[in-house]
Amino acid sequence: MRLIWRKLVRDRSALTGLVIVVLVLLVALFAPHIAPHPEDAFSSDPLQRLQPPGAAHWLGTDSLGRDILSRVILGTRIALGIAVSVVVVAMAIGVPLGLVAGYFSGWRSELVMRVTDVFLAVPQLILALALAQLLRPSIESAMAALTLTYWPFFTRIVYAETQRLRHAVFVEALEGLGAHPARILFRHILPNVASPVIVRATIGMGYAILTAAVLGFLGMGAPPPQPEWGLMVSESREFLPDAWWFATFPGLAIFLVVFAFNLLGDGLRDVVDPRLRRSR
Amino acid sequence: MTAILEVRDLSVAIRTDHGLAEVLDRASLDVARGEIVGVVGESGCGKSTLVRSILGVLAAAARVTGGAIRFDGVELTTLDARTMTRDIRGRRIGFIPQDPYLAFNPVFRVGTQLLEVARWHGTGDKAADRARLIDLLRHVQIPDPEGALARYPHQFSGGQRQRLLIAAALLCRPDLIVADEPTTALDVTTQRQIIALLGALARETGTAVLFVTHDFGVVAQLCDRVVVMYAGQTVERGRSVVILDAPQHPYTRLLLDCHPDRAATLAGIPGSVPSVIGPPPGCRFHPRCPSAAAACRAALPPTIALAPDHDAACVLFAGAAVHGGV
Amino acid sequence: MLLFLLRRLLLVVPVLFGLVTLTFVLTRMVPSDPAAALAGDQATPEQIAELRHAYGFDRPLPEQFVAYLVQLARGDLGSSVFTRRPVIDDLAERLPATLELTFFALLLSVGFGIPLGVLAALHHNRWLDQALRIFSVGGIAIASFWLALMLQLVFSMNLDLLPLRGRLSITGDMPPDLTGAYLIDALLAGRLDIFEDALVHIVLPAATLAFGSLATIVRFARSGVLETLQKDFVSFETAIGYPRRVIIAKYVLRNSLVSTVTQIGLLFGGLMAGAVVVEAVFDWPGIGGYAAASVFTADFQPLLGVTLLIGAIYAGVNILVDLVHAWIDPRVAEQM
Repeated sequence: MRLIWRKLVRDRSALTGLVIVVLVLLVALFAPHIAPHPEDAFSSDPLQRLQPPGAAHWLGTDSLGRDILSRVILGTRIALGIAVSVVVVAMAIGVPLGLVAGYFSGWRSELVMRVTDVFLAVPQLILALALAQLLRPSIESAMAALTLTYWPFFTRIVYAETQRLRHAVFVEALEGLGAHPARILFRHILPNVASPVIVRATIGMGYAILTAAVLGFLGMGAPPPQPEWGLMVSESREFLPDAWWFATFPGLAIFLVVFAFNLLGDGLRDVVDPRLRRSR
Repeated sequence: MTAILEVRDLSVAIRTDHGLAEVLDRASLDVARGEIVGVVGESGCGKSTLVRSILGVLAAAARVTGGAIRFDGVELTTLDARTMTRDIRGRRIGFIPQDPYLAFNPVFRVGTQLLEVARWHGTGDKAADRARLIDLLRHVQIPDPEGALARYPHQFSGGQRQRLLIAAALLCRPDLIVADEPTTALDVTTQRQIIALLGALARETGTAVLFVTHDFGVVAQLCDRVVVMYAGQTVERGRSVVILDAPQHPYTRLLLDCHPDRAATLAGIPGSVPSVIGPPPGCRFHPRCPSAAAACRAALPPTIALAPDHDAACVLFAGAAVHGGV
Repeated sequence: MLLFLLRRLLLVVPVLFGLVTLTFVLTRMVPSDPAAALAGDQATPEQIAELRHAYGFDRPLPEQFVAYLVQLARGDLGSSVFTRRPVIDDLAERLPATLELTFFALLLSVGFGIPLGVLAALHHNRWLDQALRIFSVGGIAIASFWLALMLQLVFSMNLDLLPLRGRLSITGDMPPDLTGAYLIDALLAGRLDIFEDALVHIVLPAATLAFGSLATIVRFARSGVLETLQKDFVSFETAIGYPRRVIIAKYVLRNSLVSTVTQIGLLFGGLMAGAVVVEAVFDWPGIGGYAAASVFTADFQPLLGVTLLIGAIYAGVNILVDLVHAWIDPRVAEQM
């Protein structure tokens, strides 16, 4: 663990990503206390509508006079909340499936992998849209849609790793000793697949935030008046080009956070699994 | 016979994470026209580095820190890459690599790759070059040479690939072929065949060969003369029959004594090969040498001519020097 | 090669079947009352019941599934409540626009991405490489809807250099309907004025769409070249006298392209998905915009139809990519 930490810290871009991610997490945690106008999550002030960035409102105000900086900060909670739930649940579904499919051969394994293939047969966004549309537009339906499109990624890598380890000497030794498959899977194989899973989870955070924003933009995510970033950009459209700040800053927030997670994920990948290492 | 290749006091160092590795320390050897010279030594003695220095394909972190490599009068160490590529490689010096499995580019047909050499270093007449290649393939006993050119590397066995590489090396009629342990990756029977083939072809075409190996058996079979190396230093040089029969340098003697064909027991040489990062001063063998003296540590031992065509780098022979007798 | 193709096709069939099953499950099981969902908010209980019977929602599920399959086999993807036309007709009309946009974007990504990736690798660790590395990681972090708006803001609204939306200007002529791709049709008809009109209209949407794929291709091309340069055959080729530029341009490139080509299949899927957003923002009359619009109007059939169509196209593209991969690297065909 400490070795991983030290190697990670030496990689400048990964370190940058980590720092930003930690900052974002802190912002999300303390959002109501950091935001200059926390009440602007939901209240409006028509007198202040569409003010450009200035002393009173650093990032300007939106069409309902709400402080954009505050809404962006508050939106961090929504974005991270969605991302964490999506990734955690997708892991909870995908990892066990991958373990089982990789360890046991036969029709069970085949079935799981075929189902995985089906979910991956359509680009994620399309499937998420279809799913989100069938449920009512809300944060929960966006989360469900995203989770259902992301779990296959976990299954695939866990499957590949488990298959590889399946024939490792230590596994065969354990089987020879009569260890129960569940024990082998969870006590011995799982720790070994943890690394690629963590990398995938980090990148998944970025994916979830980005795709949740797209769903929000298309009206399939958090409904107004939630301060969701994608929704904010969507609301800003009719006020362009004059209120450029309205569209720009929420989008920058999305970029910054996703970029940070990607940097961190890449750094983790290089550190944790040199085999997967893409030449730096 | 004039020397086609003269290596004088060549020193090469490589920057590594652990320090500067002095891989070659004032190594020297000669190859005369048309002769087959073997370079023998244990793993890590610098043989491959020597070969790479001649061809100018050292790793990026490696530098020639001293000495000279003269090929037919041309100084190679100071030659720029473009001239090296245009004039020397392929055309005047051929190369047979160690691993026939990794040398070929897997996604191109064998013919494309072999003829690429001819394209840049051949006669300019594509048809003639192609005909010559097919003729060479027949010489190296590749069945159906025409069809072979259209196939991919993975469709050939290791031994066959090595033959293809031999043909490629001879294609543009080089004056010298440098072979870096080309039979190591093959089984013993195939090894013998390949070596016999290479020897026959070299004699037939009058091409000089510098053959790197760790196996004295190969030297016995193939080489006119042999150069023995240890930890980056040239230790003994001379005609193979002479050295195999009556080695003089302490290292060569111990090495030959250990050879399975000669040894009664499976003993090795006590101690181990020194690291080339911070190597022993002077003669690098002195820590393990039964005849070591204080002078051995002080400076690189002089190369003493023991006979007209036999020299050894050892202070033991300082007295017996140059009067033409051992 | 033919055998490879057949085997590949065979693999696709169960996946497509699974996809159809998935959409079936989605239509029947997810909305609590599919008939009510289809009928819309204004329907009376009688209308809903009528609809339920007409669509066969009151039959047992397996029977419904078979009926669904038959329906699909006939090419019936239902109707759009909004456009009041069969979905299949809407899709057929709109598909060429999306294909033109997607291919143009692919062309941009590959055409710029591969050279840039190779350049980055050849200038390893120098400033160009560093800059491209940041770009390749950052480029996929930018939300395409945001990029679309930013580009519109700058190039259209502020600088007035490029049009804001659509495929052609309202006042201009339309090209003849030959391929459905306006750029090609205009050229075929010799109408350079229409060509120019179509070109300026496609630039922003295609650039937006291509951005993420460009970043990914730069990344993979770069790492592919870097890895290949370390391979033994490169040092061997140098040793036997291949000129450096020949080694890079011919031998290294082909090997490094393998990893990039295998990505193109995935990227195409991403492009089609991205088209949903880009078409929505630029009012591009393709299937993406169709899907986005049906999301707003809670029109179920179109989105499902788009899902199936894109799934089929995606599968087809992946097969094509595998074929190209096998052509580039002959070991692949034999492995299967």
